Amino acid sequence: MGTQRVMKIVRAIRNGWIKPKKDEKADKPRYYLIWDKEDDQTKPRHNMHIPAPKMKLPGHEESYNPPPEYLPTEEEIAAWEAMDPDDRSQNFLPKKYSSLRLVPAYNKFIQERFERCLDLYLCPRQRKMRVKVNPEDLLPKLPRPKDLQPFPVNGIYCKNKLFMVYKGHTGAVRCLAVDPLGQWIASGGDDKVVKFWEVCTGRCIKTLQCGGAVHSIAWNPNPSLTLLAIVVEHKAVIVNHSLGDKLLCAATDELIESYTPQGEAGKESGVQWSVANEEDYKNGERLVIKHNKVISQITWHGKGDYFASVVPQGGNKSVFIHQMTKRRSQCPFKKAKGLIQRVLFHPTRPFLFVATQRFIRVYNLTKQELTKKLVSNAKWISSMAVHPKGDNLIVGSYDRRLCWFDMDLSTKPYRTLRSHKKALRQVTFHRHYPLFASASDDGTVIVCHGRIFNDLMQNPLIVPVKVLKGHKVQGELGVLDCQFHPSQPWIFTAGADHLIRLYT
Amino acid sequence: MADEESGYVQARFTTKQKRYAVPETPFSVPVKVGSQELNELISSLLSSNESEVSESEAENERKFQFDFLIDGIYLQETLDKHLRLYNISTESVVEIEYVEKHPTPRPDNCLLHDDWVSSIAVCKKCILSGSYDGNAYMWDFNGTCVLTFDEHTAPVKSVCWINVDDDVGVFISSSQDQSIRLTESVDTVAVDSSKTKFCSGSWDKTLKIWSAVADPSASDEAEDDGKAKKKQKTLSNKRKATTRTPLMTLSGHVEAVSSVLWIDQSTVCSAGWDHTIRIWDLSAGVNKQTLNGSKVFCDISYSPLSRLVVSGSTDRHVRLWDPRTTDGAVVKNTLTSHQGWVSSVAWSPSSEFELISGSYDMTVKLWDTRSLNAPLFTMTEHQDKVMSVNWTLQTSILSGGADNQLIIYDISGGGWRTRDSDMEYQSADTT
Amino acid sequence: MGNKRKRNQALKKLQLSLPDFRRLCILKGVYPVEPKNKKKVNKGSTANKTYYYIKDIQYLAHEPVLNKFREFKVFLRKLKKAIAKEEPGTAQRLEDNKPVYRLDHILKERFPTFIDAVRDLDDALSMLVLFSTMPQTDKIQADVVKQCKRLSVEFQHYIIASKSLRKVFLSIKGVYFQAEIHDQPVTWIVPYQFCQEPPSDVDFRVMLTFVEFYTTMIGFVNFKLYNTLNLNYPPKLAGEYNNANSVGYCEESELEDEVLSALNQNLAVTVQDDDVEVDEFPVDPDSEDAKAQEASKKELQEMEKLKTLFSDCKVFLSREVPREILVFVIRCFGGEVSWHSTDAIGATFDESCESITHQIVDRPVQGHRYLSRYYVQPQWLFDCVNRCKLLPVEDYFPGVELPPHLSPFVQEEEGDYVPPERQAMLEEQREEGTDSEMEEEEEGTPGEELSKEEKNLAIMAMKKKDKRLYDRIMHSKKKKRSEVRKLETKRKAYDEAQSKKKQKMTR
Repeated sequence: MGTQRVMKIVRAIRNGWIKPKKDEKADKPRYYLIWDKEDDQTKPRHNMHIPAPKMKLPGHEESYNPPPEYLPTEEEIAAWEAMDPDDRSQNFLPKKYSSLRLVPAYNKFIQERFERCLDLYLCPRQRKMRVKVNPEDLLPKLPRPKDLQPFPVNGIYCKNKLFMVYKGHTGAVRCLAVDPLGQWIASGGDDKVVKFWEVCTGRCIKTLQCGGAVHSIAWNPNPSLTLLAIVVEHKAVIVNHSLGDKLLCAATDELIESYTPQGEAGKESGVQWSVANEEDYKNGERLVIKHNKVISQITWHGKGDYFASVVPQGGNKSVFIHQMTKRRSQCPFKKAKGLIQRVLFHPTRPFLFVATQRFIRVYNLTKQELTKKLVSNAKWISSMAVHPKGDNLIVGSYDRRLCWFDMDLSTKPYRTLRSHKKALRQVTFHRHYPLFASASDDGTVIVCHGRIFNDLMQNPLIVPVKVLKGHKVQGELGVLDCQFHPSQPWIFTAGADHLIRLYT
Repeated sequence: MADEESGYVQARFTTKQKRYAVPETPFSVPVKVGSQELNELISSLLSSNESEVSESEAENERKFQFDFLIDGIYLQETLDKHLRLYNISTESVVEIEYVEKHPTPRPDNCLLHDDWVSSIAVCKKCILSGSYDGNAYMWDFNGTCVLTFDEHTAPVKSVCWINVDDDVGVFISSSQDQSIRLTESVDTVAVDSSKTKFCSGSWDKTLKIWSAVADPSASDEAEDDGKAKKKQKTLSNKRKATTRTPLMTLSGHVEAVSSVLWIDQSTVCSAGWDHTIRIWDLSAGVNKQTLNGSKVFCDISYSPLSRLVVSGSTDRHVRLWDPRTTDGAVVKNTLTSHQGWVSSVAWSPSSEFELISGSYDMTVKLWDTRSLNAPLFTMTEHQDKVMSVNWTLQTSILSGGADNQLIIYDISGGGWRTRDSDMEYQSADTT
Repeated sequence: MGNKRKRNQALKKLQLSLPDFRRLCILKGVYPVEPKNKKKVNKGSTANKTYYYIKDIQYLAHEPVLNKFREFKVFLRKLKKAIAKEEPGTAQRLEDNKPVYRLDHILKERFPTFIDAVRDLDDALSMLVLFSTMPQTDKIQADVVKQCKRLSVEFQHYIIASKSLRKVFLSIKGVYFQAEIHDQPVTWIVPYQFCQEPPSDVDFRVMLTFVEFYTTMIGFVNFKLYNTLNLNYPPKLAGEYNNANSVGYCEESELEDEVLSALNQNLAVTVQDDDVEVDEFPVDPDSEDAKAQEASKKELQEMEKLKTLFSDCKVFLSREVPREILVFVIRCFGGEVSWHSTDAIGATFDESCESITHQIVDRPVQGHRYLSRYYVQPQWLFDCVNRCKLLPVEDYFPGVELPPHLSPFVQEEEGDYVPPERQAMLEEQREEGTDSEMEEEEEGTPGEELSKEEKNLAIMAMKKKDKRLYDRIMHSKKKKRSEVRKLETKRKAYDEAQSKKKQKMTR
């Protein structure tokens, strides 16, 4: 072999023109568990998608042994044969065979399949309104419990042992937040502390003294920031919990300190930013935002830079949107419309949900306008959660209702559940599984299955599946907060009985 | 023969333990009997069989306790129920195998810690335990703490021996302070059989393979402890900043890795929160096989004897998996008796059937895979969650829990010989 | 123009030939759309043009498989060249590095959740079943047929193991099966066991592209289904069989396939009892929910009954009956079944077995008859399933004129024609059900009805668009009514003729 030839081959190998034979084994297995979780993060390609309609199911006339009236008379046969194949109302002639053995192969079988194939990829699809709706179709078909799995259980057989208990608080636990990776939880309560727990062992990792009852707590949704927002009376505190990766903790601190003041522009009255004093800094506190009145709720935007706080007594200034990196606050509304209960960011779009006592208003933050106003039939809304896809919303109220809004359908609740005996304190959605839950003062948490179909024609399926009991009611207060684990079908609940429980 | 009312069945008794052999002729046994009555029958057979033996010894023999197996399944109810349950014909002769009853585990010692006991490792001479106070402790079998290592700044999650010679022992410990650096709060480590590599699994969803061979830079820092001459190696010593990098990083788990172990030199098995047990081929660095479960795994253990993997899950079940077969059922068997999360599992080092499991329901259970319906023994000495169990030495089971105790159970038993002391212990316990 | 593009524009943008574009559309599930206003989109012309969403076109443009298509073309060109140049080494190397593509990502894209895939299973199954019966031709390769067979058999095994078959129907086209998977009805049709002659007017390239996607889809669906049953996928059964009675006349892999397709062996299902128990929620007894709950409870009981319908039956199949279909049906409802061991692999007991309860025959005359069993025609099995109970065998004895076989898929609406047999069935069902629900609501009180004149006025006052719609509805109603009348008269005539015949006979 000549040198030139060798050189040529070497060059070809270097440039990747000649590839060594692929190792068959290194390939992925032909089939594997592609839907290993109820994880519908891959979105359907667009919301105009129309699934192919199913083929018509056969009627009596297609039977090999139909009732006699379906058999065509001779004139009918002649007429059918004379007709153009496209005009025929059915593509076969009913025929009766006295026994199954005599039934021949259907000569158009392959053609019919082929036509169906053509229909599937060549036929334009269009949504047609059905004029007549069969009332039977509207009745919900209740699925079997097995098909609703997984959901948290506190098994009857297990006598309250299958759940984990996080013991340590000395007062009612008001609020609860789960780390976006699901390794830690943080809880705050009337005993003026915030505690951090390891999820899988039930161990209290550390305790943070706050000097006031903690009423709301929110974990930064960005997994690369080790931050937490805590509400202590008038103050909203940003805390670096320093759990987990040290590099991340350091990077987070760096990010906070990288702030450079930018003059007075954008200053909003009613709030005051400051850096935590030295002693608090050691405990993890980083930034303190002082409000004029008591804050009731704090919530992060999905990206983890913006967060919103609610000051119910603040009059015209009862909602603030803060930006952590720029350390500035903003009051998006000039006028308060009713007593604001909760606010919530849309998971993907620049919308803000604002719940007053009876209504939920959806604001577009970029256009600065009201896009929708949802009317709940509740008297006093207590809590609100948005589905991770953003088109559905649940609202809990003090008058025992849970309303599900399908925002594509209407501004009225699609479904109202009245399963609790007392006021609802919190409602929440699971991030991946079709689950939502509500916590109530009757000491129970009800877990419901709420499936949304990618097919727009199918309405959401809502089935209550489980009542989780265990918390004791203390002084009219039952379960004060509940949050799902980010990846498992587990739910954490915080009770007035000083305990946090995990139902798996 | 199979008259349902009066109920007698032909049974032939066999045993693999030659010294307890009885004649092979079938006996007619009433179907209503359980293992208690069968025990009496065998004892009487044995004593009549060895009538030549002196009286006192015969007396001794009567105390034998046996367990009975039909087609390899333990008899736990009465005979007729068992036969009906497993659909065994009563018309032919039923083969009943009997084995000496497993000795009852006896709490032998209790090592008190200052904080929760998270992990246990055992070698022939001493016990190593990791605790939530950030220390690793070394104990001898008499229950005295020989050494305390306080290198970690956060709870120790896992400890493991690398090498144990006569007077030098090397172990690794991993902690939430990310020692064995680079990974985020290392949760679990395992060392391969050749003692040259170890593997760690972590919350950051990856497995890392590290070299455990003492290369000069690392052994420089090995601190000699005058008294016991234990070499201790810190893999991430911040003071001198000799950080090692892993030989290999395996990613594939989509959630936290909770447990890793070595099957052989080049095969690692890991389990995680993503409901999968994955088997990795290290020579190719690929995920060779995936066993899909439906619940979060807390711990797994592999037995080279039975070649099965046992897993403990958050749904109170202990499951057996066979990584070799690719057909039939995925989960071979489910052992159900625990009432809480099963936090740790361990196979017996000497028996292919026996395993232990520790659970957050405060119990440790000893199972025999031939008896799927109920555990052989349940140990309830712990006052809080059981965090870790260990069964490295044939004679002792160790368990550590959130009640700060590390309890050593003695199962050497020797059958009836220790029964007296056993009784003593129990009576002492009850008073 | 809006959000749509003509097909030719799409081709230009994607730089694809029409066949490749079609192939890509099939694999990705892209279909044309009908513009709301044709004239406007088409600049005034009403000619028929195909439109696609721009988003869909972009979606196709970003598809990795698209590049593979191009690579494949290059590969083919190179291969051709190598062969022409007579360089076998180069050709071999090229062959080894043949570009292959996988469809997993497309599958996950098209069906983000498992339920989505199950809802679209009907066509896939019917297609695979059809191809599994196809003869090998120059267009259809043997391994495609084999794989289709394998996948559909595996699926049937799942249906048997999970006992999820619900309805069956013997049609003149083939046999329809309906199963319930994750609460979704899945219907497929199996042709009768005859050799399918591939017709000439069918473009097999199109069908094979569908098959290509469907095999991927069913494979993954099977994997998931087996996983829910705690089973390894793919299943293996031959090993056990080999030990039982070693058959040495075919290769092992073939044997395995044969055994599997005999459908007569259980997959090793160990039931995992998870503590799934849904709590009961008190609902308002008068509300719709309560009714639905009640109905679903009843349905659940019914279903439990159905699952073990044939559990007390031991069935033997005679040679002339379609074995595969019947075995599947019997096994789905817990029955035991066997056949002449000379017919096919997988027979478990002999014709002479004493404990056989039913023998399925399809010929009037029989040789030796066993007294301990019933001889019935195949339709008996199917009717039993659809009626959810074991029917009296007398009507199905060999040689007897069979009662009509009705479709279980028909759901009668008001005004539909209901054959008398079906009516009897419905009445029976109603009697079986609780009598309390007998009150039929009477709607349409005469006072509310508009008088004819008023109605006419109202029709005149309708908008043009509404009027058209209204007319269409009225037309279809009329048509339906006339059809019903026709069927009724026909039946009457038939019944009269029958009774006359009978009279004659008796005379």
